Amino acid sequence: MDQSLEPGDQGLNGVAATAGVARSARVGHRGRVTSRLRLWQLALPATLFLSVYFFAPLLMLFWWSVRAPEGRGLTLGNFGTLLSDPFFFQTLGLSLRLSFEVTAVTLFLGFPLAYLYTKVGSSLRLVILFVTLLPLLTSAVVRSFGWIVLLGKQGLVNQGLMSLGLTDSPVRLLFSLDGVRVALAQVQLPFMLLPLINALEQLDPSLEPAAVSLGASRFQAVLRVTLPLAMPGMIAGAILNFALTISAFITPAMVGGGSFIVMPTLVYQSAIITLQWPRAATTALILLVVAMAVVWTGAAVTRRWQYGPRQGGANA
Amino acid sequence: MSGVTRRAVLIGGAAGTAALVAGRAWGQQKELIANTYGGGWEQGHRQAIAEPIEKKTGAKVILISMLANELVARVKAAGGSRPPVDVALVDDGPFLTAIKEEVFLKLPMDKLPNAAKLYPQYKPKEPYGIPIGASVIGIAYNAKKLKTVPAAWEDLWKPEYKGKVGLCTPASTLGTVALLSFAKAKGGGETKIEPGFEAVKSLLPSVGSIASSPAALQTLLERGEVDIAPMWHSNTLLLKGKGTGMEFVFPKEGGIAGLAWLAVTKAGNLDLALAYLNQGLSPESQTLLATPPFFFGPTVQGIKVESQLRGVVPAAPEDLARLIQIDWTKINPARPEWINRWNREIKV
Repeated sequence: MDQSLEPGDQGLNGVAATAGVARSARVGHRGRVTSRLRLWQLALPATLFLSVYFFAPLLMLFWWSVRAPEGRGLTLGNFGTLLSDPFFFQTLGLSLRLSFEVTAVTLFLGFPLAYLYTKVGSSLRLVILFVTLLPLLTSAVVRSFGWIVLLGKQGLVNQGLMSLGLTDSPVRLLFSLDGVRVALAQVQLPFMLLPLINALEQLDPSLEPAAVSLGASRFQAVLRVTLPLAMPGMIAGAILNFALTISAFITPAMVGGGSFIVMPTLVYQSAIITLQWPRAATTALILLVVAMAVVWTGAAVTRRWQYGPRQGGANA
Repeated sequence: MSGVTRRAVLIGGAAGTAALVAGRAWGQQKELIANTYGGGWEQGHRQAIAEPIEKKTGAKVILISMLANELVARVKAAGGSRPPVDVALVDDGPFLTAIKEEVFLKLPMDKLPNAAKLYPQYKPKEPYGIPIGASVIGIAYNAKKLKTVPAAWEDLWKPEYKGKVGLCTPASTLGTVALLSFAKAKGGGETKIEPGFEAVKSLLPSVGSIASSPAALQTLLERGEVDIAPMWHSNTLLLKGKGTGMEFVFPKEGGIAGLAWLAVTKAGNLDLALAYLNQGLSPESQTLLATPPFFFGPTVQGIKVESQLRGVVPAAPEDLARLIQIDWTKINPARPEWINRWNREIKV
């Protein structure tokens, strides 16, 4: 079930990966034609693989999205039907909101943790990595079952709240957006943490002491020196988290139940339950375009952040 | 170096891709792939059908886990190429869809001698598959926690069940049938679903959770998140066996039978596939599938079930008489709209 829907996010990552490879080949070896050719050949297996397993299915997605729901012929009617439907936009809006919120939560949790990681010894580093990566080692179904046990009316969280006297009756956590946010943030934390650690470790360790020696408090030093310099890592993590959340299918279905639906659920219903493939393809394509627009905006902001201010400074 | 590397890289890439594509092409001579829905289904079909067939024919039977809707979608997606299974297990709605999509073979019924003993009610209208087991949708309730025993669908609205009722979305067969049952109880039916939606909306204040699949609903009942719900008899009896206090009742209006069908795809291996189907209808297989922990209602006549299961597992003509028939040929075309409407209108 997840395999049939996950290609969406792998696809986004795939595009990012291909773009990255192409860019580094261009930038790193400008002017050396022969070595550039050889580097290009290194990308050949991946290109071949992506052509078969990503670009060909993507073409089929385009093809299905313009096919008439009944009978033969080509049409843009599928897009018209969906784009004139307020419920479709409501679902798209919910998916976008959920993705931004989960990204914000992982950023909020991830930055302090990544910062801590760079300041502690190697054994504690291992513990942080192990604990954050652990959820990735279990299947989404098992993990979701765990959340049912934890978040349910009779679950550990509610029992704890009630025995502490914080609430009289169980709080509704399971089958709510809150539950889905928590569950998604947990499993996706590593995708925020790892780029952040990568970004923080590249910083010159003498920057913070320098800021402190010039009169900043330690907090100010982190806030005004480290945090801005870690921005590329934050945006990389945010892009990953956004792409993963907007295409997440199992967690919203298991932890969210049937009380609200997100875009991947709509795609699943049309593709698998009702066999309305043109509708499924159109829904998936619109989701893909919206997600890519957000990701590209994020990438553009990163480039701006990395090169823009510096160039501006040089000119001034 | 570059020459060797280039060749190695190219060969490696091509071989990897080819291996992924070819995958199961080897050794298809004496091999049969069938799907089940996993869990008790897989265990039951392995013991009752796959193992006897392996013994008799020397062939290898591979059981994979795939739900009916997904299976039909995948067989359809395979188009002219080899579908993912030789024998498909599907329930009523997807079975009819698959026939319409022309993905199953018309069966030579004379090569299925055991099919002669099928209950007349269960006989296929067109020979595209054989029913392997009957399940009933009724009311599951936790006898340890609820004082009043429910007797009819309308009892779900009773104030004492407030907050304890569970439902399943119509994206599943269970949810579709429950919605239709509510509609029928309120004067609607397959072509008039409006009363069903009105009923669900008036039930919402009592609903604790809406699950997206029967498996999820089973978890909710087991965890005590909800205590009463429309449910399959087999899931309910499985929970009862775990000591949860779960009991199953046929609602006063009648339970609804869902049949699980075995059908053959256009994957070749017809003889082996027919042997598999015929084995499934044999008295020994049907008897085994009707016992705990499987509880599948026999589809052929003359199968006896244990006394404590009588009246719960449909196994006798009088049990069948207590079932109400629903028309999937009318449900299937309307179902996308039901799902669509549920997405929009039903929120807890």
